[in-house]
Amino acid sequence: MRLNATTNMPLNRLPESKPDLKKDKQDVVIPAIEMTDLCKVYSGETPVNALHNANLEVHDNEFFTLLGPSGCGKSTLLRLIAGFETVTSGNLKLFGEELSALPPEKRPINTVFQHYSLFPHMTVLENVAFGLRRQGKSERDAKMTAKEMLDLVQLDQYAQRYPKQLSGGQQQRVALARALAPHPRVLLLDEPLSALDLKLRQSMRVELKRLQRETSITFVFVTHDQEEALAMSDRIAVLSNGRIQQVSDPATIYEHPENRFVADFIGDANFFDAKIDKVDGEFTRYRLSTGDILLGPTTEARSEGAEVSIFFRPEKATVSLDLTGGLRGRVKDILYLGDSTEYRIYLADQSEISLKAENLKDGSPLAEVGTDVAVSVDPNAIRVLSR
Amino acid sequence: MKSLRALLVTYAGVMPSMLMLVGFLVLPLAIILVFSFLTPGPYGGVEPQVSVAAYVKLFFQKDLYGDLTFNSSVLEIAFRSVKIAAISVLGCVLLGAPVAYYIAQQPKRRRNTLLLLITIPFWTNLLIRTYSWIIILRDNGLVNNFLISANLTEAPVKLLYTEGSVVIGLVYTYVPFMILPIYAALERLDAGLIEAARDLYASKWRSVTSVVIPLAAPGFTAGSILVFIPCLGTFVAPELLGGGKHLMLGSLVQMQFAAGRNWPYGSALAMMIMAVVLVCLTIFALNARKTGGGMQH
Amino acid sequence: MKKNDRDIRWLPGLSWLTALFFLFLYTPLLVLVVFSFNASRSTTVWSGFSLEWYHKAFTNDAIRVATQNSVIIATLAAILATTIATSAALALARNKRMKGKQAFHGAMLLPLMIPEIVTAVATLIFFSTIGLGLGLGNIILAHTVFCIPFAYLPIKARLESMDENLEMAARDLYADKWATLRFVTLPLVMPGIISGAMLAFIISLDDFIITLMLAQAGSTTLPIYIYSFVRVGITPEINAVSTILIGFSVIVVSVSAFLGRKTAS
Ligand SMILES: Nc1ncnc2c1ncn2[C@@H]1O[C@H](COP(=O)(O)OP(=O)(O)OP(=O)(O)O)[C@@H](O)[C@H]1O
Ligand SMILES: [Mg+2]
Repeated sequence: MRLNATTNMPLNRLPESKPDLKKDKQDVVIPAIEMTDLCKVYSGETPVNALHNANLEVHDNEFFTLLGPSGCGKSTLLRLIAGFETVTSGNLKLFGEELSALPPEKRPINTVFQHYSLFPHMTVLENVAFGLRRQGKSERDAKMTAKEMLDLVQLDQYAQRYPKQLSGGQQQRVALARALAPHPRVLLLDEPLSALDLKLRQSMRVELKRLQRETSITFVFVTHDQEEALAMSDRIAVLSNGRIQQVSDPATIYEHPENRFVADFIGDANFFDAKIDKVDGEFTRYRLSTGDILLGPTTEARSEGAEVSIFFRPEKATVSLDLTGGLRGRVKDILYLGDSTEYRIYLADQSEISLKAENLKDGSPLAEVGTDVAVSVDPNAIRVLSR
Repeated sequence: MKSLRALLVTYAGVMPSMLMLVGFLVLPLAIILVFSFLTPGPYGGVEPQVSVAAYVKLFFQKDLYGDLTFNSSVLEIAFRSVKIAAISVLGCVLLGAPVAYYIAQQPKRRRNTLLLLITIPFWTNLLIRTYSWIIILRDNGLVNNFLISANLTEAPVKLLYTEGSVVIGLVYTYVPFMILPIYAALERLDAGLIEAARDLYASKWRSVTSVVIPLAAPGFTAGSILVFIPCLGTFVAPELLGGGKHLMLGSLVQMQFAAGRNWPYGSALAMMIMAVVLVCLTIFALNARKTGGGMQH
Repeated sequence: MKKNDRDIRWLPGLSWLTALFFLFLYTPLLVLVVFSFNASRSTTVWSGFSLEWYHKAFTNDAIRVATQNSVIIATLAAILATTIATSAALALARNKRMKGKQAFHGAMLLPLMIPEIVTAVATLIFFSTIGLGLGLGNIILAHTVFCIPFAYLPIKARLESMDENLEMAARDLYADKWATLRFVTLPLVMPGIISGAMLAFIISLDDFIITLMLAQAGSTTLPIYIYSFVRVGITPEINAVSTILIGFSVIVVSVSAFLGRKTAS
């Protein structure tokens, strides 16, 4: 039932998991960014169709993430919004006003570049003041606001340094301060954390969230790191090959992916080809290609005999030595991951699935390599996709 | 009208350069092409009478009876020019390639210093550079002084005013033009490729001949072009180091505008130089395409 | 260098060959410089230190005039060539809509593809045909054209190594095209422009053949003066002038290389 509901949900409807925002549905809210049938073709010897008919709304004051594998068109989308690339066809609106014809300097939108792109010939303070000066603020006002911004990112004592004299993380924060200083209506961030090490990346996640809340600026954040996307975003748009695959809040994206690409790209999943064996009220029996029967939720609009694709997440299944139920298999590999242990299990037809069990006690494995085990999955954790 | 404006805006940046290049280089070249088909005026200049006499004069001369007889002297000079230019290119390759290879192996700082050291003499005055070889090569010059004092020879060896001294001067002048492109090609060359070759049982030298040289081929081509063109039209080296005895095309052209005052003939000679340059460039381009195509496989 | 430290590309004899090469490269210049301090007239036999020839060179009116002409020509030609080369390099590197960029780039290098003697006679005929007689002006025009590629190449290299995102960032921060050019692009390309200008200056200062063809009475340049001298007889006075020129070139080239390196990193 849930699954179907998600499938039919209009892209711009807010998720039910956020009841406080739900009333927005009735009011007429102007989206911060609205794109209709937006296309981008890079002309050249072999034209590249980087974005196909994108339809998307980004709400005001939202932390919105574009997530997708390398080359899927995330940067392209961002550069269209910023105005660095021209729209091939379609509409792009900022708070209801058409943007396509405006050059970048006329758009109240600022960008944090992937490699920061700080002006090497200016000090940190001059960098941050640059946008304000170009907006026509006096030197004094610009410098003052710039100082406040540097305070905000805790770099006030570095104002007189040159970008070269800062660490990667510090440069990152200067880039943030520079883009935030003119107080844009939308801030675009193109993989801003990808050049930082793991620890710094994690602390910057928290910092970015804080800045977004404190400044109430709409953030459009690009990443190919699904963990980052899930942790930070209000909503996520998943892209693949220049097409938007799904737009939802993180939990929906993870729990109810709309297609195989999203299910596969975000988190791990064990996929099976299956046929609907018998619909029995709330639950349905699925016959897998291995011959096993798996109980899962009933989906509307699918009748007995229909061919579907079903999957479950590794952490949703349990492994037991009691061989009386579930999928029969043999343990092939055991990977100790610290907080959990992953079991790779061969099924009857030699296909391989993976399970994850939390290491609640000492982490000693539940089964050994080579033992026969049964895998059972909560029917409510099974997801069904059309094939 | 609007599109014309857009066009002007688009090309505004390159317009000044193009105007200068067309106005003061391409147009003059076109004019000497035209002049080469006109009749010489008595005190330089031309008369507006179409004639191929200038081109005829390249290969024939009037004998006492006014008949045309074949005259090979210009061809000989042209041949000598090509020969000396080619030998100079070869000299630059033999001298420059090992040096470029050596520099490419050095750590970055040292590399930059060595490159700077190679370019410094290049930026000093051409005449001065050539003149300094006179001091070294002449009969009572450094080399002969050394040879005599070491009792290796009694009378001074004739070094200056030979074709050899012209080649030395040219190599000395243009060898940076050879080293820099070869170095650029070698610098990009991945040391891993040589490691791979050595790993696959190629000897030191074998890996140079079968990996390094083929991969640096574009550098050799560029360097050869850059050396060949100025050598072909050279004027200073044969004048100073050849003593004007080993006439080359450059001097021959210059003479037509100084004492000779035969502009159409001089123009025809200039066209001849351009023709040789074009032929050589074409050969190089075809060659480069062949090796470039071969490298893709 | 220890044997096991050696680069895999190392070949026996390579360093010796390079050393010999540098000997070949610098001996002539060294000889020239040394004998500029010679006390006697000889340019091959050392007979004691003296600055006599420098004194002679500095008090020689002809040398002074020739130097003056050379510097005027080189300065103006370098400024002109660098200005138009900068504008072309910027247009070629940053103008997305322009067609035929490769052809324009090739055209910028045209002066390098034509033997100088041909350029020289073509320019001479051209000027005399259209009756242009500007004295030094003729030489300046010809030098400007000839210097274009030398000014253009360093600027182009600099522009290519520059991160285009910096200009995007400026546009993003409310700078229009001109403000971006003025506050971001030009300051960052400046080292390239300076080295381009210096190279153009040296090339013009050094030029002999074109000047020889175009020079009229009164527009003698230093190379022309040296040439006339070398032909009649060598005196250490030329060595002195040469040494000064070498020193000057070394300074200019080093500064330009230093600027290029400092900002390249
Ligand atoms: N200027 C361009 N000209 C031609 N093709 C381009 C250009 N920029 C991007 N593309 C192509 O468009 C597609 C999308 O590129 P884009 O940079 O948007 O990907 P991305 O999702 O940002 O990838 P990454 O995560 O690697 O940054 C790619 O196939 C890319 O090759
Ligand atoms: Mg990207």
